[in-house]
Amino acid sequence: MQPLLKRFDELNFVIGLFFTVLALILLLGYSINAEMKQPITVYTGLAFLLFGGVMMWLRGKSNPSE
Amino acid sequence: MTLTAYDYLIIIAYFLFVVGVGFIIKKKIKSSNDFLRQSTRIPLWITSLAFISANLGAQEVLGMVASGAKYGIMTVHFYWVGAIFAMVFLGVYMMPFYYGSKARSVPEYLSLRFDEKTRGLNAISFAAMTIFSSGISLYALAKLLEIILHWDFDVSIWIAAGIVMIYTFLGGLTSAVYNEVLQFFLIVLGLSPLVIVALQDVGGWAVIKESLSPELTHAWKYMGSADDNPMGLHFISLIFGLGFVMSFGYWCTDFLVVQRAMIAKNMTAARQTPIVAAIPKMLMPIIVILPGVLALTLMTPALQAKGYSIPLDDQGGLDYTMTLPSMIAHYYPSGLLGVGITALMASFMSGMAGNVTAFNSVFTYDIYQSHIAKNRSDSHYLLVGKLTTVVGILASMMTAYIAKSFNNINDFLQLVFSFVNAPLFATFLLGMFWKRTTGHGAFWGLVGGTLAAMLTHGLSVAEGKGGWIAEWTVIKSGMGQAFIIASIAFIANFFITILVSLLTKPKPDEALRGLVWSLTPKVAAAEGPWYSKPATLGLILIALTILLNLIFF
Repeated sequence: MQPLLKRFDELNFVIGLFFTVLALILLLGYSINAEMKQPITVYTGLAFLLFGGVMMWLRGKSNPSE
Repeated sequence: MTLTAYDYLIIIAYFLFVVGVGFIIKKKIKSSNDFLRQSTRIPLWITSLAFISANLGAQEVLGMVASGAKYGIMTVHFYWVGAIFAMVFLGVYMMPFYYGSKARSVPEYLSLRFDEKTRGLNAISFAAMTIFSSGISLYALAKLLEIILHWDFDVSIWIAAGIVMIYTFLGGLTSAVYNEVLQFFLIVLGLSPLVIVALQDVGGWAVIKESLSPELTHAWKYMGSADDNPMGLHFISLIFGLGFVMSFGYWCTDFLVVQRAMIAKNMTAARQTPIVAAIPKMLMPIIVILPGVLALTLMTPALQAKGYSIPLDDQGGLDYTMTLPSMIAHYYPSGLLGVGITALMASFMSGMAGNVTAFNSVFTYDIYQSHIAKNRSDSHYLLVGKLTTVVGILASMMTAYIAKSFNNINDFLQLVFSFVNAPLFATFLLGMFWKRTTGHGAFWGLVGGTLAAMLTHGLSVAEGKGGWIAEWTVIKSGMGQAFIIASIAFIANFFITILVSLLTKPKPDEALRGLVWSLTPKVAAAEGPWYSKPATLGLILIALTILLNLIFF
């Protein structure tokens, strides 16, 4: 649990998590809400998910002592 | 425009994250230095993105889209003439003085280089400007939310100010900087889908060029005469007024942006900060100017069937300020609408937090510590810094309400900013590169430059503004008038400073080491690959900027 909490100290992790949350809201809305069923929603959701994932992965790759 | 539960979820997630960043940073705040400067070793990518994000406020995002719709591609001059060169100059030539002198603020550098009265003058005018600027950001946000979402003006003011207060009070400058980076990504990624979908709808750049008149799709071609282009500017006014005086005056001396480079972890990173920041800055026109040009294209007869038009103002003219919100409403479905609105909120809050954190540093260090209560304990200054944050936010809210009551207060304040900011670069230029410059010269140069700016405004009229002394000359556009005022203020400051300096006694050389170019050992080239060297990177950026100007000539 402690290492996971420590990750919140890193800005790339926080930014990555934020965009992942936005992506999940958009993709969830796309799959269950008729008003949001437009290609732009799903493309943006996937792009945010990719960006969020990369930011969190970069945090994982960086030296923890930095 | 009506928001759904998904849009509100996105807005709430954003609020939770920015406040959360404040709580994370709070743990690291132990001293006034942690609160007012940096509480951790901030990496280069963060200082660089914060550097441009501090400038990516409401006026920038909404204003540049509006200018894109009004003036077309010429608006890129604010980036490719009015930003990149000054940012490179700051990194290569000026940061060694700011960072090397160990000054904690720009006014403190003025104190070390000149004297306390020059510092006091700069600190007081800067502190007042940041509060007004922050208040106007807040007013503009509440007004926008009132118009497009029909939210209550007072509730918007209190919520936005409350959130900025929480995260700046908890984590100080570091929290503001971290949130600026989050806000930068939100603005860029939140508005990118709009650019892509609108560009696709229009049919691409070739259709834009076919649809719009040529003076709207060329940056330089029609600047040989002020009558031939929509800005009403001759290229010489643009290069001197915007490209030199206003641009260098802002990017090289405004503590709001310079502060982001001053908190870098070492001298090399401090010099690299504005230069690395210039890379995304060079590309920002895609996000903040292209939507305006696209909006204009969508209103041409061939594309009217797309159903988009820029909203009208009370007088029946195009309300260019509403271009971006109306584009978001036109293209974004539910969910994405929340992303677009959150991106707009982020730009307002980023601008406000930047101003408040710069205000509390300048007030605490340059006014309180140096003039009101010297030699107190560090915990005392930490408390003052925190209280100043609260006072700064409350004063911003008061300014927002004043702006609501007076229709033309924004114009008036923008004018005051230009009177104060325009001559400042002459003071730094002479102070850093001419060791004979004296404190009396700098002080009276600043006063004289500001008075020259006021006099020029009082004697010239543009778009019905100015001429309050006599209508001596008429200038075609307000923008042209601003450039001329800035140029005259700079020239007046420059010569008054030289004249008074020659008549007064300079500081001895020993007192100027590390503060003046000729008396400072040159910074050794940074270790590492070529792309980490500020001068090399700066030269590449300048070459790329010239290339972009040629492509869109």
